[in-house]
Order: sequence, then C-alpha cells, then structure tokens
Amino acid sequence: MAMISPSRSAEPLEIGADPSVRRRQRVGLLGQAGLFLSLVIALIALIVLLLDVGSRIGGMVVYGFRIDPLTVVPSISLEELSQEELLQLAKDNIPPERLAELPEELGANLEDLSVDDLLNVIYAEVPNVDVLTARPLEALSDQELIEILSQNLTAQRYEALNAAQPFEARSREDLIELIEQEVLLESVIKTWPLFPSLFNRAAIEEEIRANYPGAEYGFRWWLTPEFIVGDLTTRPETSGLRPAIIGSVLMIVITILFAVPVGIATGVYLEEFAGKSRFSALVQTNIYNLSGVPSIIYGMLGVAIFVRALSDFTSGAAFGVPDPPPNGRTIISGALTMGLLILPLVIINTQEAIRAVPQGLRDGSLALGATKWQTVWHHILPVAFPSILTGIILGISRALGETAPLIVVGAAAFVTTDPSGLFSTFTVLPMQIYTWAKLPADTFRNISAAAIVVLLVVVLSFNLTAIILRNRLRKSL
Amino acid sequence: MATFSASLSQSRARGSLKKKQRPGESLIRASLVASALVSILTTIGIVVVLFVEAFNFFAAPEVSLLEFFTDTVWAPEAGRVGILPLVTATLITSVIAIVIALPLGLSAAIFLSEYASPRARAYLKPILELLAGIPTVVYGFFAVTFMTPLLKSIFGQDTVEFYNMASAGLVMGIMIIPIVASMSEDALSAVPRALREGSYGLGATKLETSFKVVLPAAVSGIAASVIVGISRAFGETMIVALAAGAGPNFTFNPFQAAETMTGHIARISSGDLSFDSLDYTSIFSIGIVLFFMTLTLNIISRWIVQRYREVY
Repeated sequence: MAMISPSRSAEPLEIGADPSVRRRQRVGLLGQAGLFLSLVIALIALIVLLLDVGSRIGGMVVYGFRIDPLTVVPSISLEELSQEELLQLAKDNIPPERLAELPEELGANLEDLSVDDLLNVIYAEVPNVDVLTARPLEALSDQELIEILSQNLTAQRYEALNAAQPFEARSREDLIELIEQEVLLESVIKTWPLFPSLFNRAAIEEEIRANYPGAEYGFRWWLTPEFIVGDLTTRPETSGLRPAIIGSVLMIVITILFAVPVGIATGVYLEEFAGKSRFSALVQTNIYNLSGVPSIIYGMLGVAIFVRALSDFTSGAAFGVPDPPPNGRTIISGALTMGLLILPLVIINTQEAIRAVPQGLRDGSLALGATKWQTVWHHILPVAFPSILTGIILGISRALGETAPLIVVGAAAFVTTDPSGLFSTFTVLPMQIYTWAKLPADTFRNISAAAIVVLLVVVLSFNLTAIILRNRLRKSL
Repeated sequence: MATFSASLSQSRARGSLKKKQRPGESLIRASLVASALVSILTTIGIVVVLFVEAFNFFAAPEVSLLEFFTDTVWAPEAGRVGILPLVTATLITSVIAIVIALPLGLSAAIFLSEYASPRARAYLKPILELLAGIPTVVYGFFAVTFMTPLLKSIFGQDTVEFYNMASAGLVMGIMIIPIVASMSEDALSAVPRALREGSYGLGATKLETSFKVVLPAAVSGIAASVIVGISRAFGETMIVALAAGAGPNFTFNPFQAAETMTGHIARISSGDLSFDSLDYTSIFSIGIVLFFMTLTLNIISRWIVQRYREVY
C-alpha cells in the first residue's frame, strides 16, 4: 500500500497534496454507497416478498358456475305445450332457409303435422332445445328449489343443512343462494391482485363488464375469520385452515415435550457433568454435525424408523387404539422427527446459556455443601432459564415452518377431519401452503398466500420475541 | 449451619469422611447421559438407515453402482438410475444462489460491522435475523409467484420455462443472504480494533481498511460462512420442490426445468409411497449422496475455522 509517496518532492508534505488522496477518498465514498446498497437490496427483497404475499390475500373476483345450471334446473316440458305453441316455437327457432326446405322433406306443411310429429321435428331441428326451455332459478317455486337441493346434494349434506335451518322456513333468496353455492358450485373464475383492486377498482370493473357480461363480481378477502376456522375442502372458495392449524399446534406441543427436556438435559450434562472426557467431545462434535444435516434427511430417518420400524407404536396399534391407521404416518411420528431436528438448536443454546452463568454461583453453592445436581437445579438453571427459553422459542419457530421432513414422513396432503390425538393422520400449516402453492390455479395461490400470512404472523412473532428477549439479556449481563 | 455441624459431627463420630453415596444423584446423572445419547443415536440412526436402504436399492437387479454415478437418466421405473441429472441440478441452483448471496451478504456484513452506527446496527441486525426466520416454503411461494413471472417477462415467455432452475436459485440466494451476512459479521466484528487503528494511522481510508486489513484478517470466518451457505443450498428442499422442476432433466440451461436431489425426494415421497417399491429405496440412495455432500462441507467449514483462525 503506497499511500504517501514522499520521494516526489523535497518540500514538506501537505495534507491532500498527493492527488491520489482525493481519488482514494472518492473511491471510499463510492464503496460505502455500494455496501449500503447491498444491505438495501436485501431489505427490498424482504419487502417485495411481503408485498407479493400481501397482494394475494384479497382483490376483485369474477364468479361463475362450475356446474351448468341447465343440467339441474327442471326445464319446461315440451310435451305440455299445445300445437299452436309448438308451431310458434318451431317457426321462431328453426333457421328460415331450413324452414323452407322442411315441407318438401317431410311431405307436409308444418301446420298439418300432429303434435307428436311436430315434437320430433323440434327435437331434430332446433339446436339447444335445453337452452330454449330452461328457466332461470328465480322463476322456480320454493318447492321446486327444495326439490333441486334434495336431488343434487348427498343425503348427509341435505340433512345437515335442513337441521341448521329447515328448508321450508328459509327465504327464497336463501334457497337460491344455497343452490348456487352447493349445487352449481359457484366459484371464482378470475382474480385480480389486492392493490389495483383497491386503488383502480373502476378500471377493473369496466374490464369485467366487457369480458364477462352478466357475471357476478365483487371484492373478496381471502384471509377471513371463516378461512382460519373453516374445514379443509377441495375448493379454494370454501376451504379453511382449521385442521392444519390444530395439526400444527398438536405436533408442536409433542415436539416441545420431547425436545426440550432432552435438549436441556444434554446441554446440562455437557457443560456441568461431562468435563473434558472423550465421550463429551464426541457428543459435542456430533451435535455440530447434526445441526448441519439437511432437514429432508431427518424426514428419511423419520419415515424409516418411526413410520416403518416402530409402526406398531406410532400407529397406536400397540396401545390398543381402536381402528389404527395402517402405518405410522401419524402426528407422533411427525413430532418426534421434528424433535430430533430441533434438538441440536436447543442443546447449543442451552450450553451457551449455562456458560454465561458466573462461576461464583457454582462455587458458592458447592461450598455450602450442595450437590452438583442441587447446584444445577436451584442455581444454574433458574439463572440461565431466560436465555435457554430464547433457544426454545427459536426451535419452536423452526419446527413450525419446516415442511420438507413432514413431506417425507407423510403428513397427508388432504385431511378433512381434525386430528383427534397422537395417532391420527394429520396435516400442518406449511404442508397446506405447499400443497396449494403447487396448484396452478390463481385461487389456490390466494388461499396459499392467506395461509402464509397466518404462518408468518406466528413464526415472526416467535422470532421477534426471542430476539428482543436475547437483546434484553445481553444488556442486563 | 446447625444441621451442617450436626452432620459433620455425625460423620466424625462414624470416623469416616468418605464421599456420601447418593443414589438420587447417580440416577440423575444416568438420565443426563441417556439424553446425551439421543443425539448420538440420531446420527447412528441416520447413517444406518441411509446405508441399509441404499444397500437394498443397489441390491436390486436393475441397479448397478457404476451406472448410478455415470448414467445421465434418472428413471428407476424404466431401469435407468443415473444420479447425475439430479446432482447437476443441485449444483446449478446452488451456484446461482451463492453467486447472489456471497457479494450481497458479505457487503451487508461489512457495512454492518465497519460503517453502521451502533444504533443503526441495533435495528438492522434483527431485521436480517428475522429474514432468516422466514420458513422456506414461503420463499418457494415467492419463487413461483414472483421470480418466475419476472424472469419470463425479462428473458421472454418461451426462453424461460414455467419451472426453472434460475428462479429457484435466485430466491435461494436471497434466503442465504442473512446466513452469510450474519456469520461474516461475527467474524469481522471479532477482528481487534488495534488492526483498524493501525491502518488508519498509516493513512488508509475506511474502505481500504475494511477490504485490505479487516477482511483478510476475518477470511477464515467468511469462508466458513460461505461453505455453510452452500451446504444450506444443497439441502434446501421447499424452494426447489416448488420452483425448479417436476422431473429429472440433464441440462445446464438455468432457464429449463430440472429436479434437484432434494426436490426429487420430496416429490417421490409425497402421497402414500409404498415401502416395497424401488422408488422408496431409491430416495435413500439419493439421500446418502446428499448427506455426505453436506457433511463434507460442514466438516471443511469447521476445519477452516479451527485451522486458520487468527487468535488475537
């Protein structure tokens, strides 16, 4: 680094006399700007990610029917029409040139045909007889509406709806709404992102009126209370998250019950009991290596050990659980796998926490005649606990967001019932996000984004708690 | 105090000062050792499971070890089991990721450690840590819904396939930035202040000090952070499962779809995979390769830290 070159002149050096100094300072400023920029880019990436998710939790939508109304609404029966009406119908709907050819082909004028022959001609010649004779839902009587429901719904669903409120007691609008939702499977056929929908609604409405004449449209939030507590279904318009949320909570509770005691015990052993033995060095190296093993490998361990080898226990068959699942793809297998995954995290944090406890505390306790365990239990763990808790919280948030091992262990992609215990098949929040994000339809991405918001709120608040807790502790030490 | 002297005189009366046997204490110690064994058993479990199932895979008549490492087609149901397409896809996505994450992460680390005021640092570091806490499935969603359409609009709808390695690699790079930044920042902060003062004293600018004095002094920690980053990229599953591809493909074009090792394992295992099938044992043969790739990297990174650490 030739920073100053005094040999250039014999005069005493003035600060800034070397022309390279100015240049080097400029480079320094540019470099600083560049470094700052890369930090900004990282933060912008975070913001774009959040906006990308946020833009899908609500927006303008156009509704359409999955099932053609013509196939369920009883049409006018042609047989009930009189000869004049049929004649009129034929004349109105058969193209004129065809109408001119017909008498020759039939060997008689339309007017002279019998009702039966006329019907045959109409069925043969009029395109879309269905459309012609269809009636809008609004034109039907209440009785006919109820009839449609009873014919098209499963008996179970029909009874459930009837039990909620008897069909006879429901209003017309309510019945029509029910048919649209349950029978015609009213669904979203096009969606718009949140921000244009909020700020440029008029333009979108115009576009909808141009491209989808007569269709129902409106603003729709995908992240709603009903979404969070609702059942999982195969339709994005009606699906909820409840089984996945319950699955996540149950799994995390078991994970904590397993990983926290084992993790703290290992940390305590390594720091307080093991000394510098060969065994403790082995355990220590092993823990560092485990913390670098990809999570999907833990999944493979889980599927081979918990799901297959121990299937009698993890399916609950060994405990006499009635009607056990055929293999161990259950909550307990997922939770144990997750427990092993976060174990290194808990252990390493426990060790650091214990190492930070002042030596005087141990000496004092031991000098008063306490045993090693009494010292640990009454003096070291209480002091180290807040710091250990930070590690536990980070572990929980890791386990909540981890998906890959559960795919392998076999969280089911589609579960309609809430998990009922340790031995039920299950799904979890991130698994549901993955399943929905894989599907190409926009509406599935909408509910995937809504589920992401739920997951992020939980995970990030856990992480934030841990970070704040840790910073407080650092200050107080 | 009274009880203490009482018990002291008691043991004196018995004439023995030998350490008292405490069965409870021994029991506790035993259970602590048992807990420590859980982590050892986990490692043994991983290695045994991977080896046993991979052995079952290679014992199948249609599989040969030579073909496994040389064939360029992975289609177990058709009797072709070359792991190369999966490995190249993993390498390509990881290289893209590290090309993004290394400069951005390192620059962010230098800024945080050398330039940012303590106040700014107190806010910026937690944000980076928060970024690191976002579940990877969310990054996967981001790759499919944002990065892929973005790449398509920049490079052309036909050039960029719906699934492509570039999108997965770029987003993986964003995911790894906080890891590289956080570990490098720790390494840079550990460089003693005297080194910087000496450099300033000789007339160096702050940038020169950062790059020519502090950075070389912290290079082992930074190298370790990069290796950990690569290892994370090898093992990352959700981003590549969602964005990189839905089938093995031997290609070097990052805009094409190709499944990585982890992505393939995830796709094959979703749903009710039969335990008797070749598919089931095949994922363990991939798993064992992945396990040793990441293990080697982790061991190298720890070795670098220990071997080249400048102790001040």
